[in-house]
Amino acid sequence: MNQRPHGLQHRRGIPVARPSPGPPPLDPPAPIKLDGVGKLALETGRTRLLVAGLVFALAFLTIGLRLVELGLLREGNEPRVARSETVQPFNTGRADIVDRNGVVLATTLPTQSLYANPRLVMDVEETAAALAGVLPELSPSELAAKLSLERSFVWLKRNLTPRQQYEVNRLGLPGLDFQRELDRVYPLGALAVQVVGFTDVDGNGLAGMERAFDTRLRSQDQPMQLSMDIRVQHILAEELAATIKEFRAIGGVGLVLDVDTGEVIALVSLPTFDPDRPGAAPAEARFNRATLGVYEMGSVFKIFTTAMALDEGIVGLNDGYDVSKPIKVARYVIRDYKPKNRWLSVPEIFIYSSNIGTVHMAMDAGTKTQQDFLSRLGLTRPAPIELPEIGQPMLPSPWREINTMTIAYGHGLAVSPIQLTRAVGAMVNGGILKPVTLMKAASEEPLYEQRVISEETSRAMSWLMRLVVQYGTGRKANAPGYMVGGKTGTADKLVGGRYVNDARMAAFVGAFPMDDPRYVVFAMIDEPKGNDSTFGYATGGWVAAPLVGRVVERIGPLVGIRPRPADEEAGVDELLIPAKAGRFVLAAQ
Amino acid sequence: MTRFAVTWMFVVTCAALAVFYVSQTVEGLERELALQQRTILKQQEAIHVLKAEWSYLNRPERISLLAERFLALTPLSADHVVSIKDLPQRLESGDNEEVPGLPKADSQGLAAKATLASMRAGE
Repeated sequence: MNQRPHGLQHRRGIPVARPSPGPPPLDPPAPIKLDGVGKLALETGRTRLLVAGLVFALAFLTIGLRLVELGLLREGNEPRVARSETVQPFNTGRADIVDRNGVVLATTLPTQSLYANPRLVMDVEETAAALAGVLPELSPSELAAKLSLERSFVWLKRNLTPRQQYEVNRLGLPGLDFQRELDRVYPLGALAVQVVGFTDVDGNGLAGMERAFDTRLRSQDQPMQLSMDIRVQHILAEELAATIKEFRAIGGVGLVLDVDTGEVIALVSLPTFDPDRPGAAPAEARFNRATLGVYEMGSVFKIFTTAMALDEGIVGLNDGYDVSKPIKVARYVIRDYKPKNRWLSVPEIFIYSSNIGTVHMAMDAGTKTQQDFLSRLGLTRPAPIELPEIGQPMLPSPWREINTMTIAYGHGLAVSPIQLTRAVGAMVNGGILKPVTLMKAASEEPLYEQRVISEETSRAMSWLMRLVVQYGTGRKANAPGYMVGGKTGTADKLVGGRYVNDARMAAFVGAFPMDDPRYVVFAMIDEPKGNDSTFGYATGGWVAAPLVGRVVERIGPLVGIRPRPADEEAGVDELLIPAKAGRFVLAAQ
Repeated sequence: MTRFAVTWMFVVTCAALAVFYVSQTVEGLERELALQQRTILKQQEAIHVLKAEWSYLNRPERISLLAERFLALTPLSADHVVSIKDLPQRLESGDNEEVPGLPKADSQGLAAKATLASMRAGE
């Protein structure tokens, strides 16, 4: 500004000449001298002005710098591109378990747990009495003992229902408080407990899939999808329970298996228990009969003996044996349950469940062949399934000739129902042994599978099983329209190393539809007692076969199999099964 | 000089006010966001609980009881399934016989054509 022409100053745009007209300049004013109070006040004023000025300058400087920083500079943590905030999804710390259709079998819900701070409790007796009034399952004396502890925290009751919480709150007692907790809940109760399992109060899996997949359930949020169909499970459980009641039995097992994928559609073991109170259940209720229990399966095993003999070429479908004479080995005598006393063809031996004929087949095959065949079917090793409760099959040791004979008709070798069902699946699905699984198959291709019998043998076995239901011991398993096939089995129970005559296991293993089997259904009833409607019989054909028939009839539409009118049902392939081999004439039965 | 300073001070003040306004708005939005996130979590938790309840209410034994009580349905059996070839033959055009209980068959199907045309026009 100093460059401007001297004497001229622009002030508000009007040039003003200097010296300005006005009163003549006075003498230079005498310097004002201030002393004392006046000077002090002036100096204070100046100082304050200075300080204020400085403060303002600093403030403006800060704002200016901040503007520069905001406008020009970039903070390290500042994202380059604007994005939407992601919300942490609701997480309970343990994934749900759902069935193959997404029905929740196990979930974790927030609940409130009641605790007390005994130091804050005013009147122990009164508090205990009031609490016991709204929570009747707690005893006043135990509550009083807990409330008199010299601590500042004691659990009174975990996982209250909202109603209970409301009741406790309404008491308005000091020293009581709630802690939010997560509780594992099983909405379907006891229905699938043998598969799903249960957890302890802190959410550690103790049994079933909860235990087998504890780590996976904790680490992933995605629900774990099982292969089970809860509707099929319900039908199987309901029919089993009805049969157990009808025959005053002590327990039962049921399985439904998809033979193409190896998926377990239903698994029932009765008696069962409430997963919310596993501790209250007796040991035999918590025992999973389907995978942990091993049983002698009786005549059901004739499926394997017959398949072995056919597949190894030891007999053909036109061959047969004379079954009129019981087989005597050492001090044992092997007889037929209902002797036919004549020569029987192989299909006849199977259909009438002849022990003698089946033993002849096994003897002709030999011990080694039998051992190899059964081990190829996975019957000599524990079943490969996800559950931690897996039973070890009981094999004869040493495996002598007499064992070969009894194993031929299902005695002297105990396997679990899941092993048996899997092996039967391989008999009817074209001859391929699949791994069994409780997880819904991600793809149609299983990880490993093994051919155990030829396709032709498998087809022959399917039709033989169909004949058992059409003309043989399993007639009560027929479900119109579904072409059920199967095999009955009745085994005397081994109690303390001895066979007991009046305690037996009645079993039936069926498959449907037999022209292209899709599902295997297994049912076994423990210690059924005959009644008037069965003329005192309590065998597989009277007890388990009708049960399987009813189950097939009910689950058929659910699993998408169309019931066929009688005239559409495929008949037995006469080229495959010689209808008139021996004296056996199908139509005559 | 003064004008320059005043202009700058004005600009700085405006900028500062703008920054203040923006930051306040952002804070408000963040509060709103946190609120919404809490609401979302709450709703997710509620959905989670409702799913469990839904599963509980869909217990097969309960459904079968309800179906027995309120529905006139029976389990499907082979008799209920009919194939197309079992259906009665469609009336040929010409044999214009009267079926009791049914409207008289329209041999040219004119009524049906008219209905179709009006439906198409309506679309």
